[in-house]
Amino acid sequence: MTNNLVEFATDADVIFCIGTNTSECHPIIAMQMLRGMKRGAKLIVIDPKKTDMAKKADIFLQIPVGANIQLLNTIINYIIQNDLCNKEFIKKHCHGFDYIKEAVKDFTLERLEKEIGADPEKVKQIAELYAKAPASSIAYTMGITQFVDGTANVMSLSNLALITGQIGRPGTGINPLRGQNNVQGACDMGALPNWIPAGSVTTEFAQSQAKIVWKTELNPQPGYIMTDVPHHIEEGNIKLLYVFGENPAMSDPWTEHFIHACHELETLIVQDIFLTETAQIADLVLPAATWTEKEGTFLNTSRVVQHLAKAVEPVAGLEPDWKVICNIAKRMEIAGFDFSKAEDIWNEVRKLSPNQFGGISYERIKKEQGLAWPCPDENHPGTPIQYADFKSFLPDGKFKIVPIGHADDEKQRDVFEAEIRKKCKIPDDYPVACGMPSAVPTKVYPCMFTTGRKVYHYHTGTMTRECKALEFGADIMGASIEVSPDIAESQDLETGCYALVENKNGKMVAKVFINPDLIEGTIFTTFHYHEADGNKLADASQKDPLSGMNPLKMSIAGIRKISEKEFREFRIKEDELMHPSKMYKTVKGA
Amino acid sequence: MKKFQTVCPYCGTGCNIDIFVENNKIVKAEPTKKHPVNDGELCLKGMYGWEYVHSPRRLTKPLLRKKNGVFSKEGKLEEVSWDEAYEFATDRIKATVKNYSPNHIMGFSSARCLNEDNYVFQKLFRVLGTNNVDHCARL
Ligand code: SF4
Ligand code: SF4
Repeated sequence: MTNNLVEFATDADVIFCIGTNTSECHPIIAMQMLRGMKRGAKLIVIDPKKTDMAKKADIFLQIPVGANIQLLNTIINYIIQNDLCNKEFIKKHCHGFDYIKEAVKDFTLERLEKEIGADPEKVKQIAELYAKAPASSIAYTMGITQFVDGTANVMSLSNLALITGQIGRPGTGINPLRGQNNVQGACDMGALPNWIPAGSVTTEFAQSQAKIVWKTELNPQPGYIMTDVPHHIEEGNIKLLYVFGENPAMSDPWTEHFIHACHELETLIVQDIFLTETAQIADLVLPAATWTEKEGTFLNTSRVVQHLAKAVEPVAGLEPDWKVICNIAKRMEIAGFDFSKAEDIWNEVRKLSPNQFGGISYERIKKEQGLAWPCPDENHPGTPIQYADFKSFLPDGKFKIVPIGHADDEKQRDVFEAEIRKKCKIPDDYPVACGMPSAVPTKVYPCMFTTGRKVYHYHTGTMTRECKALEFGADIMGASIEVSPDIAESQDLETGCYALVENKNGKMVAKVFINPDLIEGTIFTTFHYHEADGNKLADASQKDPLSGMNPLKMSIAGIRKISEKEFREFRIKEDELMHPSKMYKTVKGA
Repeated sequence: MKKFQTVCPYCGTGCNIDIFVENNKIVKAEPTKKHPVNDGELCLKGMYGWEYVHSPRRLTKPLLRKKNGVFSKEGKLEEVSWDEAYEFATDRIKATVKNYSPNHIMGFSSARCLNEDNYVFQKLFRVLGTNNVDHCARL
């Protein structure tokens, strides 16, 4: 996030939520937004699903899965045509305004209505509210990023903020609500194939910091990205995989492909707190201490480093993950892993990345209830709002507005990008991008298929499904397949019947729930349940060219009713695949 | 009853939680009062999502795939000592780097674990000479 999440409550005049089911996935952020509404802030919600927040919103616009670029380009065009831009901000701080003006010219309200059925009046209101308010804040999640054009989606949002100058001040900004508690931290700590805490592995700074602090020549060649790993295993490029605190056998798209690939590894090491689906196919499983059994830090979605105290002694004398890893390193006689406590590790991070973390000591984090990076020295107050000086990270300090086109399918990406370049007279060294659908319904697979979360469970359920109050108390519905009423009607489905959903990637079965809040032609399911995992049907063959992201939010699928007998047979087969070890069968009733 | 301030292990909001402990067991969780992030509120997961810490299904010993007492791909997971587990891990990592290259090993780090855990994990791979580390940020 460029800004702090509390600003939704205290500063934002307009909150623009797109592709986020905030009350299910980030309940306390939703609470902060509702506090903002009490103060008088207006809430805009844009989503394929009529979420709880959509019901509370001042304006709710329901759009088909994957229509973000068409909508955002139309809003941007309307803002430009009606002189609602922040001209001074654009002139002083941005490049590329003329390019985008040209690129979005044809995205009219009429065209949008024709293509996705969006009410022109609502789109107008959204554009006016967002552009005119003193402080407007954008919030988004995976409903923006999990597509083949995810980066183009994000750039579109940044374009919107730039042309209106809604950035760098309290209550503004571009705010991805991060899904996992420490995803920000994992990125900042260098758990990325091209990044160490001192920056990109290709930079001179990272190279020299690695030499000074790690006494290591850093490999300048970025590593493999996660979504390519099954392929690299099959090609023999990866022989040993060490997985820690993740359950990719369930969370990766196209899970069967991943599981098959793992059988071709020479070594699979899994470090986790439970015998997860991934651990069951491992060669070596290493247990570790968990949350509340160890001291350390997390980085939340607002870039704030927070401290966790150790509250209980670990079960069976287990050690923290970092210690297990250090023990391995020390046995291999590798220097630089002699840490005796978490704080020593953190202090090395501060040394390696002084501009970002230099001033963030354990003592200050505890005393000041967290500190936002960058915070270069002990007297620096931290940076809750990024770009407060209206300067980007580029050498000239200006922001680039990136013109974005829209193609009808993935294969035309390059053609379309070249066309935009020509049409808007954009030089070759200036970025352009293109949005497109990764899947269009066919005769065989007539429905859009998308995934999401439930408030009482989390991700693959490794932790929440072990909590009785959540698994048996809050979760009355269990795994289900939600369908829009039109699908129910055409396929003769009723709430409570069993159905099979399938496409070329996989199959799943569950009980049906007819959900009138879904937009026409849509099937929705979660990925919390191993017995009915929506990621099985996700498309791993396509990717966003920049982020490597698979279009998890957008596949096509067919659905049909099945008997209870078929349902049971399928589930038993499924359980055998996911839980080959007798030690850990399905959770319910265990 | 002792109180410890920690941070929720679920979503990226980062709510602060006061954990109450008796006889080394968590007995309840409460939102940290007046904390800037969650100001006295928690969602269901933050309030009740700690029970797994004391689950009897937690792994307590390393497991190695064995058949007839030795490592085998065809074997079953069996409990082994930490010493044996560490020896297996280090032997395999060393052998892979030596027989193939540092780029033939890959690590998946965790968006659920500490900064300190993630840092040490990626450092190990980098010092071994590869940038093959990633985590489920994209998922
Ligand atoms: S929730 Fe699942 S996918 Fe996410 S880090 Fe934990 S085990 Fe991995
Ligand atoms: S209490 Fe709920 S909203 Fe807060 S961090 Fe935990 S899961 Fe997220």
